[in-house]
Amino acid sequence: MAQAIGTTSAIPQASRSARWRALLREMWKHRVDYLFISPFFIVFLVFGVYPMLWGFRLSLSRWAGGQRPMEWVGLNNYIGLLTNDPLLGKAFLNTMMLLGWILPTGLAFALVVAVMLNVRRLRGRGIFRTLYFLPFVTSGVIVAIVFSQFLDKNYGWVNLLLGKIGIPPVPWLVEAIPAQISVTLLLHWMGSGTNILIFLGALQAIDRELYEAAEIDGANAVQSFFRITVPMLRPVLLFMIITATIGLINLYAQVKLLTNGGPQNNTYTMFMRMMDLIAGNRFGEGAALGFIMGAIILVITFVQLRLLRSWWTVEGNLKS
Amino acid sequence: MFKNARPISRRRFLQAAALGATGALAACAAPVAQPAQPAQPAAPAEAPAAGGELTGELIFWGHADHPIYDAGQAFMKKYPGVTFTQVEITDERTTKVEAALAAGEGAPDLNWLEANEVQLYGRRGVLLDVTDVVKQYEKDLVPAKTAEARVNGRYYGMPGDITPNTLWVRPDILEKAGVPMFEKDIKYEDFLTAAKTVKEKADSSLYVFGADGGGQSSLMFQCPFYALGGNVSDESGEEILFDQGDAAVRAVAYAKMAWDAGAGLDAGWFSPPYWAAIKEGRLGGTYSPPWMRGFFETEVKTPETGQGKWKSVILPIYEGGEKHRTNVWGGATLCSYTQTKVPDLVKKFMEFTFATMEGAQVTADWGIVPPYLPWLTTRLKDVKQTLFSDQTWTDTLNEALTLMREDYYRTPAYGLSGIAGGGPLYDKYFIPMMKGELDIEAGVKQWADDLRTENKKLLESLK
Repeated sequence: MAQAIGTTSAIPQASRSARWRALLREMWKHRVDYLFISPFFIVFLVFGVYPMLWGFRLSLSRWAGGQRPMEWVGLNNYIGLLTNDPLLGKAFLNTMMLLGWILPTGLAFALVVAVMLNVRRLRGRGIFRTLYFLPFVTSGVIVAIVFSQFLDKNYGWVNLLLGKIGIPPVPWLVEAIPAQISVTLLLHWMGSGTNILIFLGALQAIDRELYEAAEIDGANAVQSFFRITVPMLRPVLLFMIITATIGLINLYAQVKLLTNGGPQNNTYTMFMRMMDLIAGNRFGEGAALGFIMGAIILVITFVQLRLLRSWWTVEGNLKS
Repeated sequence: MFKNARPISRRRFLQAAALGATGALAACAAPVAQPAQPAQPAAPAEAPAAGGELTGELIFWGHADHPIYDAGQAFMKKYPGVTFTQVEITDERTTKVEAALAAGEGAPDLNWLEANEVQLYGRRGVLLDVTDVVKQYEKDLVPAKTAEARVNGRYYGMPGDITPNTLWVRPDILEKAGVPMFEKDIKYEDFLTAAKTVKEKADSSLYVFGADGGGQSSLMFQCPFYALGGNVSDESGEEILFDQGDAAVRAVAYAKMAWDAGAGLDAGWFSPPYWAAIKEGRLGGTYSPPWMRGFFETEVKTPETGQGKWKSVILPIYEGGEKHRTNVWGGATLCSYTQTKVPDLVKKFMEFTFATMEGAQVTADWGIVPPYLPWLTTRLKDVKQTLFSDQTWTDTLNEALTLMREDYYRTPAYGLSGIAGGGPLYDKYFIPMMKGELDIEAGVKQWADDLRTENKKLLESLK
């Protein structure tokens, strides 16, 4: 019996080693091809995988920087952040709130503008496209500084113009809701250009015959939009929702420069908290927060994928 | 011509191309073997040679137009064998220093660190111990400043810029509002009454209080906190004292009085509206550290914009805080790192810059106030300046020096608290207390509790 077991386990082992040899032979045969694709993988390993693994190790350690060794603390950094951080809760809520506001409004705005720009009769479409795309190529730092000057409560141009039409000054950057609106406006202004262009490209790829057929069947413009345009944009929409979610959870530079997380931490994001921890020499906790944010992104993305897949059938029809 | 040539196989073509690409890559890579870090000395600089002649190179990281740069030039003039190189680094300085510390080399020989940074890096053990130099001159240096460079009884930097805060006022604007120039001992309540009058009658503010409470606005809290004997932590930095005694509660209450008076300038610190208000006379007074003079003089260049119209007086009296009517805000310390290859040269430079008449004069000419007592007591009065109407500025400064505390500690906890001008904990509590949304005593207590949590984690991470 024992012999039989030994024999049966030896067979797969031999088969495995044969497979390995075959694989290596095959790789050697294509060595030149592998050489060509190797630069990407080398760069990816050195600058992508290694820092990520190092960062994960850091998130499980206490480290004072420099050449001091890391001290293993297990999950303490994660537990401390999730149970005993005076600012992370607020930062999480702010990030989710900004995500909840900016994602749907930004995509809806970009889609509407793209549909308008896709009208064949529209004159000067190229000019509009350039104008909408222009903010994207402008430095985010400069834009944030200019916005902060425009939106200054006492001396900003926006309140100056509002004053001309009898509207009292709005505390754009010094009250919670106006500050969140200011951040939203800034991000829409900067991000809409690319979103519009991507939507426009996808819209132009939709076969016109679908609309013509729908028209013959008696569908009006709204029905065509929801029954043809939106379902046909599903892959693009999915891509944009996921990339925008990742971008918004990692929101930092624009908010840092526009409101510095204020007023009263009402625009203080998770990324800002992470940066504060790192700048404050709490490298382990900063790394742990980075991985917590990564986990949040994964969960949200998974939910988005599941929801969007269940909302639309494979044929591209919206489920009732 | 190529009719009879043998066709090259795909495999051969790929092999040849790969060989060529590898060669090209190698050729490209060869000259780029330099680390992507600021220039460092090619070889370790030498220690002082026999006969007192110094040689070697010093690298300093700092912003453009820096007092240490001026000191470097003077040092090179005195010691021609020394090369002083300034690398202009501002925003990314901390990141680059961290990278150099992790790499084990590449940090500058000299850096200009804020008080809480000295305390932080000193505790991490990455700063050069310069106890021997500072001890040598200890009696000649302003004691309040030396305390900032001291960590667990050792010195990790040469005391640099001292910053006793005073009140700067424009008498011409007071006069416009019918308010007499302040007596030497004005009470805080009377100061606020005057500020309200000036705001109403001359449309000018006597203090800065932005809606975000950050930057210079924080002086409305910091100054009474200092005067009333407050401390964020003890000297070790381990025990949080922020809510011990009533200094913080009373300081917040004093700040709230200024907030409620509504007479402050509501503009971001150093923002275009801030400078416009100064030049247009809409800021007729401000609590200020001495180093701000350099920035003011860059902007205020004509009598129409206020040049030569300012005066300086000691801060108003907070009841019970008469002995220390000043505050410290900013004011850096000259430091080096343990990895420097020229520790002796570094120490010599530190000694020259802040413990000799010559060095002190150079840095003072730039605009900071060096801590060297022999210079302060004899030469401060001669500093050239254009902002103040007469030399009473230096008299006030000399008086403020005598009001400084030796028991005020700017440890890492001080940085965490945000009282120096903003930060998440400061934002969380300060403005809600100003607006009356949060009870002051409860707010200070919660602020201190959060600070304890944060400080404990920070100190643990430094172990």
